Amino acid sequence: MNMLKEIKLLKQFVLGILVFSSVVVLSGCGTSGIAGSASVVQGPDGNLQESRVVVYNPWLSRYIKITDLKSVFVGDLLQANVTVFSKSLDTLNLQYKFRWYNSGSIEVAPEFSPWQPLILYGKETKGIQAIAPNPSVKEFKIEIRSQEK
Amino acid sequence: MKNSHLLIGVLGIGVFTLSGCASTPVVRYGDAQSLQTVSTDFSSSDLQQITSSMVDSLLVFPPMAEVISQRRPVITVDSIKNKTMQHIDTESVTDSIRTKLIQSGKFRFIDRTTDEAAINEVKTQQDSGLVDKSTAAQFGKQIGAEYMLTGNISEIEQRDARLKDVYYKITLNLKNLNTGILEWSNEKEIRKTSKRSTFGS
Repeated sequence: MNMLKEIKLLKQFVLGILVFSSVVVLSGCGTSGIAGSASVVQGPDGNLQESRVVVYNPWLSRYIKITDLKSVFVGDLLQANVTVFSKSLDTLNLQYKFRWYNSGSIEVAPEFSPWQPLILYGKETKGIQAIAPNPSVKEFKIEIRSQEK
Repeated sequence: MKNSHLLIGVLGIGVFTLSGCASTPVVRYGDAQSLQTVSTDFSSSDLQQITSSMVDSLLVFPPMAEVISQRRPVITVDSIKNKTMQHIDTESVTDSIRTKLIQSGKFRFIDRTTDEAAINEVKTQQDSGLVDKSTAAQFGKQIGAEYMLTGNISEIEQRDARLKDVYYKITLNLKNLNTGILEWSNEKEIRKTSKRSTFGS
């Protein structure tokens, strides 16, 4: 009888460890890929034709929303202005990266666009700005993803 | 009895799985632009953030935007003073900022660190008799810098048994060498915290 009890206890213990380790694994590696991207293009006539494309990763779209995308020219350099809204009540630790494209949609100076941290408090709206690396840039994209462990 | 055999088997597989990969090191290439959060020490991500923030600020600051819309000013870089307790390669910080500013096509730079080699080269062009005089570089023809880039990096560190909080502040100034006036200045703040986990370090 005692033997049976011990086996039962051991079973519960092993099960507990298995459940615990799977929770640790799932929570530790919960990074998503590219979550959202958007672009603003300058038309051939020189006027800004703002095309706003927002592609969401379904997982991250539950937590954030890109509410505004604007491009302004400072001199001949494109300035990207993006507004992000947190739908969550908790603090979100995210990261973002800008990508820059010339009029031929070729990526410009990718080595100058590192991932940068973005902390969004509960229900916070935050603006993100960046300046294009050189005057050839006519289009930008922003990518947002959760912070890697 | 059957059950205990099964359990021993499961445990055995678990131990084998956990210990199996421990001995051989795995080397991979990583993304140089990924966000690095290994420790609270000054990292590559901090350097990249400082560079982006400073260059963006300098390019959009209205008085500078007006100047660079008319000409490409010449800048010389002074070293950034490291007032932290860490070893930080501040030349690497200024190198990154300089590279990004040159790539923007809006600024030109002079580099005093290569002057000795440059003097030797001009001397050779002038005196060796090997170089056509009409194409030889002349002494006294270099362009003087209009601005000088200076700066500081400082840190404030606080810690208790579980939490370590490091605050970095980087200030950069652009000084007009003719007038002595600071034409532009910007600060970048970075806060990093590390927390010891409840289950040991």
